[in-house]
Amino acid sequence: MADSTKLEHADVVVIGSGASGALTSLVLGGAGLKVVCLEQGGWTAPEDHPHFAADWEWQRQVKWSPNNNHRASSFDFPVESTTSNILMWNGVGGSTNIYTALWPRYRPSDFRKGTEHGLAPDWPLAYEDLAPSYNAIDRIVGTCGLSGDLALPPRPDYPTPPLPLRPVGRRLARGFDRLGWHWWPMPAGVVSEDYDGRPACTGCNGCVSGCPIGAMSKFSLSVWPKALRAGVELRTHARVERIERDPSGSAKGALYRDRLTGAEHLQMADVVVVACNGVGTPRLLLLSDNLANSSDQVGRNLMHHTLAACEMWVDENLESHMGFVGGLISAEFAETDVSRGFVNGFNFNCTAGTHAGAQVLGPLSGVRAPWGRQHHAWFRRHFGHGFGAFAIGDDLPQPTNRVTLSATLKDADGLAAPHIEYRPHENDRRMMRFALDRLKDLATAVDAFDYRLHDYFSPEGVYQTPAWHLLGTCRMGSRPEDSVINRWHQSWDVPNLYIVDGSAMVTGGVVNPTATICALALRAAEHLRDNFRELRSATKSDPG
Amino acid sequence: MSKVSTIGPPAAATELALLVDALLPGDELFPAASAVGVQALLASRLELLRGASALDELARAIADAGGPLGVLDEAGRRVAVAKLQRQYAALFDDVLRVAYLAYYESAIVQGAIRALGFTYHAHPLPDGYGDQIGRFDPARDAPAHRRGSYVSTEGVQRVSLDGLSLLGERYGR
Repeated sequence: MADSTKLEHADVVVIGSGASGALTSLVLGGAGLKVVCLEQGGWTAPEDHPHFAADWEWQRQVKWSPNNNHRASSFDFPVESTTSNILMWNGVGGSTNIYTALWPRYRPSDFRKGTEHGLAPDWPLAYEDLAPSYNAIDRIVGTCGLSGDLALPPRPDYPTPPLPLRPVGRRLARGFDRLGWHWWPMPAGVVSEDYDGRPACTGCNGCVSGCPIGAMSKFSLSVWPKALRAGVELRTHARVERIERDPSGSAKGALYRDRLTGAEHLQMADVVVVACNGVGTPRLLLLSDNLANSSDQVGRNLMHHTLAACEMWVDENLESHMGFVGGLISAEFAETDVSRGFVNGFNFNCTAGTHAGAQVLGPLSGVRAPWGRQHHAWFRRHFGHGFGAFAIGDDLPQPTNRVTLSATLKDADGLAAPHIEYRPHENDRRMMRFALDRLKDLATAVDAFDYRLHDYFSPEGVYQTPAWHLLGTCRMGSRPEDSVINRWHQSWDVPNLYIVDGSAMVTGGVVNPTATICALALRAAEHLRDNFRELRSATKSDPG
Repeated sequence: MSKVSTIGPPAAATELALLVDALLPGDELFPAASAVGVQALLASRLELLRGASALDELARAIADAGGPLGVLDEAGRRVAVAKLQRQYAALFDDVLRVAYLAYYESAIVQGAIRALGFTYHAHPLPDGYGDQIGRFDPARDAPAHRRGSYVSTEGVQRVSLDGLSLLGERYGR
């Protein structure tokens, strides 16, 4: 029996302390509301990161793996899937503990795919609605980059300048110039100069295991301290089992288990905000007796992005094992051009090299360096000379790409694990084939003496992308018939329930989504803050 | 507690040493894998990845591939390891992954990398590469091209799907 008597009623309970939950807590707590945030994991201290240990590259394979199933920690939940390689981190700050903070924005056309081709819906908002939030988020999170990119609408300067281009970036830039393709320094959620109490990036190249110094915005270091100072109560090791409803159908709070004591509690609140990512959020709604799902869209339309990759090596010693993992971005193929044989587009994200252990494992291609007598010759020729490029594209939302509940697999507390099915659309496959050819063009243009492509298809033909991007599974829309939430992230079915993570997204865009997830969460939180008196007791969702 | 193998601990240790040396032999600069202790990390980490019977599994696989390695000459060991790679691909990939990472976390191997002329830290922090990477230089590094465009919100227009025969299904349930 849950004990709710000792818990003070809150104005807002936020479920999940990752990027979107942190920002929502900061905004609402900063307005003087009583906010309780429930997080199933704990804090990850800077010294817990592997960056200071000799075996740091090995740790990335086990307890610092981004894959829940590989880590198999009790604070994680297992994922059942033969088609998706789901990556995330459960703990304060969520996946910002272990992401690489590439920070590009969506394009105006990303919000208008219904108008453009009709194979995905329009968003119920436009780029212009989100632009002020993008700008504000840059200041809150601390980003770096170069304004003036003609491939995107005009924007203010970034809080800090771009990270150094390094020999890798210059080599790539020459290749793009040779092809006549667009390129630009990669925007990043990293501070290139000391900013807001955080130190500048030291170019340590350990980015794939997060950033313990906080130069790359780890939200437990950048946002959470401010939220806590604003009075937000963050309860760690608090795994939410279900969202409870009152007789009227409104959400009344979150039933959770304290994973340290085993006790169950009901945290009641006027408003419930779900921020558990594109897998955790639909899982929780489904665990809550199919909550907010009259549209039957909860869990559907899962998007990961299309992905193809190329590792390449040149004769020049680039000392490519140094510096931030991101380098350049190219939007040359970002917009739809049906003469290519598909709709939507993709970007190139170009990356630095790695330290030695990761280099010989094939960090982008998965192709191992040769063993035996030829190994050291290979190493001398390749190490410090390599870099890579991802082609990351806008996959079509499909109702059959879906998060459901496993019939057999449970987490450490007996809750059903998510079951995931994801298969790329024929349009996505065409895009990836086209992108692989363009990656070959790029390898040729940089005069690579060797390159390796990766299409992320298994020998059995199953596409198994490294799925950082968990999008679309509770999408927003203009109508309750085919969406889960409205343009303010308010559930159509349960007016005091909000969903603010990547599951809210309608399309995936051609870029890493964290900047957009954060901008959306900030916009939603500010709307909720500014209208809280009315919204806390709303009996009907805003159709506008 | 796991069994080391059916061939006894000393011979099993020798087998692992021969295996890692077949993967990563030494040359005039880089030490052989066994010289920096890779086999010890292979034993413990392979069990972590594959369970307590991992070393038995490996010993059986090596035997099936023509081993034990201790009775073969260097050329014979190469043939056996190549067969191990072909016939036990998943196991071999775990072995290779562990061996490579263990090798390059050795301070002695990192010294060899530095001897090639690289500035190379044993781990990313606390030092980082701030002194080496410098800062963004707008005069040198800002794009000089005027390429790039986007379709504005108002500019988004319907495209024809006539040539995309497989893409006709509208979104929705």
